[in-house]
Amino acid sequence: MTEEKKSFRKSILNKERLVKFAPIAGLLCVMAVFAILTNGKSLSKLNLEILVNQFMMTALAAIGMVYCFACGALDMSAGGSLCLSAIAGTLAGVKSDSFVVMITVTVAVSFGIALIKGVLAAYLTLPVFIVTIILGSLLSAIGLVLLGDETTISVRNLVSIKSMTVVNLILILGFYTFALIIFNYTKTGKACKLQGGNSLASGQSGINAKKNIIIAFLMGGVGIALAAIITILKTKTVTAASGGSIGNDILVAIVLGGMPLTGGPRSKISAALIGTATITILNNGLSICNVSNDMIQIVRGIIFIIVVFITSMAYRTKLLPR
Amino acid sequence: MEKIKEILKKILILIIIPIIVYLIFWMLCRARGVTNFGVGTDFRVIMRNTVYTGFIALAVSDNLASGRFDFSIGSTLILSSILGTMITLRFDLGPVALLLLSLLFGLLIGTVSGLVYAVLRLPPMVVTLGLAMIYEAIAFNLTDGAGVKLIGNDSLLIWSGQPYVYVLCITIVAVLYILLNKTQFGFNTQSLRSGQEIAVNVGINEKKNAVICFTIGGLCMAAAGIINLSVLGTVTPELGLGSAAYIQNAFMPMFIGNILAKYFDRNTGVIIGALTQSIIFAGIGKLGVPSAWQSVITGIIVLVFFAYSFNAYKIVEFRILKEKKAKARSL
Repeated sequence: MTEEKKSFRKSILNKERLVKFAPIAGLLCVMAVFAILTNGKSLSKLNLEILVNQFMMTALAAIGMVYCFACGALDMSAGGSLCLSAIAGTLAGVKSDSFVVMITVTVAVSFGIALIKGVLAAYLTLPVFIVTIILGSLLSAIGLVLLGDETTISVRNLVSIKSMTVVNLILILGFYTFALIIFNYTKTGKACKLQGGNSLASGQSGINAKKNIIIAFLMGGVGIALAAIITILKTKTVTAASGGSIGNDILVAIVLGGMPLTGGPRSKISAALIGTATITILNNGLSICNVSNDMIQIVRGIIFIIVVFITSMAYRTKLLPR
Repeated sequence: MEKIKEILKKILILIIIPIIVYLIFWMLCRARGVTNFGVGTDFRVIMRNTVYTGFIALAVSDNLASGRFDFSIGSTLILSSILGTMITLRFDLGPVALLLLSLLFGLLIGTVSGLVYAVLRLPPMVVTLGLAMIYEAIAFNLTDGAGVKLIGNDSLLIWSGQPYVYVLCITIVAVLYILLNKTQFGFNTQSLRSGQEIAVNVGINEKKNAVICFTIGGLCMAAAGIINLSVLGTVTPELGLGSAAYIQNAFMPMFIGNILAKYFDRNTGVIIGALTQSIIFAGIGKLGVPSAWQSVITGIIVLVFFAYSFNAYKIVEFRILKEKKAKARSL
């Protein structure tokens, strides 16, 4: 009996298990804390609708980005890609007066940008992180050129959707299911994880690294396209600031969700949803508690560092990480 | 005699890129009837921007060369300038105190960043991302979002003018040159950059080295912040990781610095890269290119430089392969 108790305690306190469930525990903890602090207001129907709206854009883009991160390619150009896709799509929609053209062009531009990024990373062997930072501002600048003298483009006459709830649910569940199946049950997803884990070994095992990187960026492009569509449908206007800091939000959300920065076999699609949900609930809860924006950011920063510290506990090395 | 020739050759290689870029834009401007490119006030603005972007590039490259990306440099610039200015105004101090206080706060903030990284042993991008959020929020909170304003207080805003900006630049680059080339710290840094595991195994204290690198980064960003403050007369805090945009100024100087590192000290190469970038930006502006297009053109130029610096070895490899094939055919 004593031996059984010891082994039971050991299994509970097992570091790996602790680390694996830390992001989910963090999410539940944040939900519970704010439900108590706000006397249940954070779980009201109205607030849940607000949460879903705030959550959607980042979550969709983050799900696609998991593929890039899993390959070890940190894409920081999500903001610029989203901005340019949305601007190009709305301009095309306004010129042709067609909702279908608007959506098609948004998706096509997003895919085109993803393809360019993939080719740059695969064939020019450029460090993805830095090239995407440069590309991000370049894409935003191109968006600004396309806008010309206009500061906003309105598509109120093209978009007649009153309630976004159904659209949000269909997109998030559909894309998450699609991405989950590909990531966990197909050769493509497994190849992404293997490449992020050890690119040399994966290459020696027959995985085409170049093709893999391009596919990863295209999946990221799908997420960006969906996020751009949601932005257009929700706000019915597009500006040069559309997309804003989504790149940084995705990075924070994915890491907070338990995704390792270097990618590899420990990558999880759920990290995108869990991390985004945690950040959204945290921001929302603190706002309801009348905490100022700067204090919200300090809390976010501290929680971010603590969560990453906990989730990386099982994988510490003697050398300082780079 | 040989040594003098060697030094002259290195100096020539060092200055050839900005000279060629200057001449190209000078001719283009003349062709468009613009006669004030790169002279008088324009020249002073170019030199001032060189020092400003040079400091930012030095801060980024200091850690990036060791594989550490520092997201917090922008927030360090803002927070150190705000703290330095607040204390200067509170105690009615002069411009030298403003400079020294800002540099001191830059050093302290950099040290904090380094310590957090070394103690927690988390990926530097993660640590600095979290710290950037915290520093931004502190700067916002201290000034209630209004920032600090020294507009009209010309006695404090001297650090972007001549000769003060050159004195600042030469002093900091000289300090970095000595630190990175003539001290044990510099040799340890080079060793860690070349082979982290081997360097640690032979006894180099990696944590101490990392903290010092972050401290140097903080110093450089504080210096950039003082120049920025002296130009604009104000520092505005940001939220939402908006300060990360400061990083974008650093890339072209860094890439040119990498190319020139073979011939000269890397830090001097970075300053030359900053000079090249300032000339390009000034030239594009003088040619009357609309501001939206300026960002596109400069983005493309930076991307091309970046692609070249990472793929230049392929051109050499291709030439060697071609020579080998030609030799094999001749046999």
